[in-house]
Amino acid sequence: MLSVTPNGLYCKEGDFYIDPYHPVDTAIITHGHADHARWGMNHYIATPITCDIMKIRLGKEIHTIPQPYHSPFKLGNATLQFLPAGHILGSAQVLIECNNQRAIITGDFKIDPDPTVDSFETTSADILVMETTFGLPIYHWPDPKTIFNDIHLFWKRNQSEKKATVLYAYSLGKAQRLIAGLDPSQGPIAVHSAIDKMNQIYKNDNKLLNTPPVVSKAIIDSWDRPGIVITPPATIDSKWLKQLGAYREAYVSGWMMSKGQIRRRNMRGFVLSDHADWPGLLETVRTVSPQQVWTMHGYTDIFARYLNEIGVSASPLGALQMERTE
Amino acid sequence: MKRFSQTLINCIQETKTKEKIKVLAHYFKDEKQENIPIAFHLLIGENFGRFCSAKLLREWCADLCNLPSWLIDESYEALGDNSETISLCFGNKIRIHPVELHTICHEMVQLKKEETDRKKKWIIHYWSTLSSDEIYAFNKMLGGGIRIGASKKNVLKALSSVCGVDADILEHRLLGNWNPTLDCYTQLIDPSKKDERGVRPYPFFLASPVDSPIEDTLSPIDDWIIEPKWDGIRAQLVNRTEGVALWSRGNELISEQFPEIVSAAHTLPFGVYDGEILAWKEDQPLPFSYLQKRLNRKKLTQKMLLDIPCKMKLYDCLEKDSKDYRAHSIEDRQSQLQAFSDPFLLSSPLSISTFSELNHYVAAARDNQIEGVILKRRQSSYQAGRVRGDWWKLKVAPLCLDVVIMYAQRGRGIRSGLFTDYTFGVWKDNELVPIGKAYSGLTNEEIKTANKIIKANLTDKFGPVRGVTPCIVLEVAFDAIHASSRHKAGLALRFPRINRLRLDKPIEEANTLEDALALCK
Repeated sequence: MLSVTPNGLYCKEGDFYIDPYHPVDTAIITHGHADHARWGMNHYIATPITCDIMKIRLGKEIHTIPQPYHSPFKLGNATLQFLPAGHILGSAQVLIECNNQRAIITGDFKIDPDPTVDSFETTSADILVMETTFGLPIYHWPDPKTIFNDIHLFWKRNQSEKKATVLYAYSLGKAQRLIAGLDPSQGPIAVHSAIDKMNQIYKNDNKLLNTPPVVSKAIIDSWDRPGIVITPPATIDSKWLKQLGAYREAYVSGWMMSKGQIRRRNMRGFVLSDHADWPGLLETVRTVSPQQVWTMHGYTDIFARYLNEIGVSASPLGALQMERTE
Repeated sequence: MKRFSQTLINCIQETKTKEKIKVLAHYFKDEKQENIPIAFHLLIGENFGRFCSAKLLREWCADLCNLPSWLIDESYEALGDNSETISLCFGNKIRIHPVELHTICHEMVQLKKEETDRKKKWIIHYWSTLSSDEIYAFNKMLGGGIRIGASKKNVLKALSSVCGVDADILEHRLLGNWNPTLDCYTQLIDPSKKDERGVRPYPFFLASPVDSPIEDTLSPIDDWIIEPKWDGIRAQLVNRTEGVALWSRGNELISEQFPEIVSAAHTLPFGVYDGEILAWKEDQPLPFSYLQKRLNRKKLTQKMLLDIPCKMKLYDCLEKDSKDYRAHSIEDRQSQLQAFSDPFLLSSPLSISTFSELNHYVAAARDNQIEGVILKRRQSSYQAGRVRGDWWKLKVAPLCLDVVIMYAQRGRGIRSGLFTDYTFGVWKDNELVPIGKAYSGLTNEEIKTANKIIKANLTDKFGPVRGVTPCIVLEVAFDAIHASSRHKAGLALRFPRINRLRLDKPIEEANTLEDALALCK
């Protein structure tokens, strides 16, 4: 039913690719991040939200076919259905059924609670193609509540020193999760324009009630107390940050689990990830209870080897491992 | 334990030195007295000796977590820190009951000589009862050093702000007779204590590399005393009524390695002398590799003493007849260096009066078995540590080779997860032969680039070391090259460091073994 080609994961029965690496005719896109939604496909099939995101990021002229969660649709001999993946807004797993076989392609997924996404759900399947970005037993996410508590303390301390707080977070997903989790009564919040673009989509879907203003001189001047600025990591060390005056910065990512990473980045780190951690990955395998697992992204070899040792047949799609951007 | 582990985490999360010092000062103020000596000991980079091997710890962690041990090993490779890997494998654990740092430490010291099974039981008990952050601190105590990004000096500054004893005095008191006991600690921070000097050395004054153009810093050249930069071991010889001791720059006692120097100390006036130990034969220094042979031996044989005789070139006098000369000018201090005999030699200043003479001298340095020159401001006092301004070093341009990366290993600590340690080779006929290893010199940007290319070109696995398809040329700089059996090329490089990535250079154009041999003198 599924095979690995230079263009990416391919389903012959339905003649479509999933998150292909190169231009193809029909592409199923699991979510809007740039390493999954690429240029040049003739047809993009994705959830309505992901279609909206792609139109902003890839251009209005792309041809999209929106398919909501839980609504089966046919391509050739295959029946497909999107299930919420909990990774970012609009992110989906792909359930494929054909010839009495079921396959789930998770795309990127997260199990931890996040009010800005539709919660991850899963079902049983014969084949499970899963991401293993954090497929090592060192990754156990702390409770997001504790992390938000820590972020508020960090903010408070910076406020007491009359400094702004800068949080680096991916513009699609992590940034909105932060906005939703921050307490606006503690002080003003502003964002980078790249984040604001994505905020509108979250607002339209009622996942964000308030969208913070874009950072500008006027906004900063209007602050009655030091606020928080959420901005993509690309702005680290940029001149753009100078308009904030004195500030303290922190990086928000699952990779901040590592003290070495914190020291290398030379800034505060908050562990908040939009991927599944080690227990989450294992729990997913148990729930889906597949005959065969294929691993993609990150520690594919290691996770697959471990699954084989605990009696689940698994192999890494190592050849397809691409450099991750988001 | 909680206070200590939280302090480590806070220190790592603070990026500014000033803030780290604040965190540490807070800790010294709040912590129970019994715990401080132990914490302080660890924070200044000392340890309690290895309790058991890192590999064994990972195996026990695998046992307790019900995971295969290869999986813990792989996690360690990815994370680059053994203590942290183990603590993270336990997830977000909460402490069951509190325990004091000093209790754990004393138990550890008692168990150190016991058999492995008892140690295992003890470790597993704490892994099961401590929180994840505490397990991190606990593991750090069992072996290896703690890196919190604050130097010993900063830890001393923090302590100084709490106890009111000057940081330099603390550092001096630490030299030679520090033990992590409450008694020792009480004496360390006692503001009313009269310092007994014993055979303690003074903190070394270290030269900084001078930026080019050197004329900007060094004009007028008459302001400077210019000395050869000897390629030996920097040392202080303490010769007092209390005894004789020879100290290396790392504040290690090296008296035993150089008996001929220690036994001749009585021929000098009482005092403290700063200088360089050199392997010396027939009026000439021998290459550093000879000296290394002496250093590496636990017990010196008579033959070694005869084959590799050592001398000490003296260039500074910090104390004479119980009088501290450090605040005096270097000219004044050097005038105290008089009338000594074998194995002591005077490191006479060079008579260089123009920049062109200086440059010529430095360029020819390697042929004379020296590394370059040290420039000392005539009026300068003897300061503590690497203070910029009064002492500069100017080194001979290093030797260079273009080499090809053959193997790579992931870095540790701050470079965890990135391939930063490279073994590289040069061409011998149509084959690459390994000639050395290096892991420093690249910028963070270059490391990122190299890491990306290496990840795409990994081949065989030899434990943590991975083969790399030859595709990256590095420009490697080093101070010297000599025959050695350590690498297959039969040569070894001294202080190899990476100058830059040569992505523009095809691997075929890297240097050959012949090129490398031609650099040997």
